[in-house]
Amino acid sequence: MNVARRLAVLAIGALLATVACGAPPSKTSPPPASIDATGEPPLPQPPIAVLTFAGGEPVAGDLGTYTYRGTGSEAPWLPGEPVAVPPTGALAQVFLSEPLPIASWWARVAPTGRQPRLGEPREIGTGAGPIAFELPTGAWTLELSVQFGDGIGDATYFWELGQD
Amino acid sequence: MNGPRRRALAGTVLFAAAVAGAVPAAAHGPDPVFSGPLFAQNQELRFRWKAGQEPPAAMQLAINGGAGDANISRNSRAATFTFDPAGTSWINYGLDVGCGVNGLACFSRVNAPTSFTMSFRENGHRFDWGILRWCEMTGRPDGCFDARNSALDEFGHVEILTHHVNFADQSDYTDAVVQTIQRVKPQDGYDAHVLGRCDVASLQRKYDMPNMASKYSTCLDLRTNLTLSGPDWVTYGANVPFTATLTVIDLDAYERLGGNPVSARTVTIQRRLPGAATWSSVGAMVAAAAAGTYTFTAPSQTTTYEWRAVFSKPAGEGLRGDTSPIVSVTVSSCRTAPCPQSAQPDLR
Repeated sequence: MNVARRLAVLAIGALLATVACGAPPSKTSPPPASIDATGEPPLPQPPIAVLTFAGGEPVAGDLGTYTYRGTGSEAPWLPGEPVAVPPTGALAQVFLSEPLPIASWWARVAPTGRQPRLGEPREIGTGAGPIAFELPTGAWTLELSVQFGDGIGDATYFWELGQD
Repeated sequence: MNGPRRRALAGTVLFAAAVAGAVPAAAHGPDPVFSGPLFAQNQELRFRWKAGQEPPAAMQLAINGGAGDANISRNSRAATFTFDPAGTSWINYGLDVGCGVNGLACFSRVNAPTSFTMSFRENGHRFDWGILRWCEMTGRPDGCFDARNSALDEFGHVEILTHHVNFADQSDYTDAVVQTIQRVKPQDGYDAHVLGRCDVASLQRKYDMPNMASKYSTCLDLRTNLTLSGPDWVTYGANVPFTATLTVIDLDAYERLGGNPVSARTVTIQRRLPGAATWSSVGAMVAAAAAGTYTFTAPSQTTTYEWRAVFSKPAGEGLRGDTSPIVSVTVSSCRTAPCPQSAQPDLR
């Protein structure tokens, strides 16, 4: 194994350790939920989804509605976590914090600041497997829906797109 | 989120993506389902209010309404839901119901097939996205969420369903109650109180039909198989009995529906002269005692015909039509005078 690869492995290990050692949870990475907050063991939540693009800071999406390993929660259309998009747009990739199979995904946008009207969300990407799509310019709420494979469930994430 | 944590997450997810596998994308159709265990067919699940976290009366009414809606509209042998103060499943309401940061309502079926839990956030809860208004508790202003619809959605999840995959334009939203984004008043479907056809389709596949005469959801498109049996040969002037059998083709993808006999449908019988191009309908076959079986007796046959049974695709049901293979019934020549001109006795 060459030096560069060895360093990469060490870096990933360090990053995993950073996460595993418990940086304080933020608003966008809620702790595992418990259906019974009075003593039931915590129930699992879907992985965190992180939106990345060249020249931008990775941003974890707000978790909306999901079903996951026999549990689930219903949320409305959310405002989303702010993301500054370059004036020329950008090719975004979204990565999940767990290696789950992705049966399908689709990304939609609607004008920011309110609930979308009937027929208003516009699809900007869809596929199976790796998640990548062009971020539009302007002020939008981005909804990403992911259907996990193997009957694990599904999850929806939101970001608020704005101009850089 | 701070910079190092974001980068850490990005690194983690890059690694995760590298080892994740891809499977084919889902398309519009029956709701996706969990991989977990089912409840027993028609299992009665009894639920209670969790002590100290009982919903207010209006919410109890809405939740019980949703349970009743699920029972009535499941059109399958899915589990049923009944309120019982001694029930093993529980439902709660309040501030600390554990539905996640943004959740209005949530559920767990991890204890299936024994029990489930369900939770509803309290009316007036302040989220980052706004204030929760349950219609049943606020006089139904625009922007409220219909709790009975929410409950029906959650009961659908408890059965086995995950969220319906809509068309991009959401034109099929009302095909399912088990939706990713619950609509608010006055959006179309916000107060749906029956399971949608694509919810029912998955319940039928997983739990089977209530009975063999029940209608298959139009969100399904099941192939059928129609067979016809009858005698190869009859004497001149005899009655000819036919029996047809209609079933759903037994495919793995159809799960519990595969191989089902299909009763109480319209099956017709047709005939033609041997080798003729056109068929003529003779009549409707009659439902027999055995499920999926139909009979017809052609009286006083004097001519050799080819016969077939036909099941035309029914309107308002998710079954395809089918036509049986041909049965040729030879009518022997007349041997006892007087015979008609066309069937003179062979006296050689």
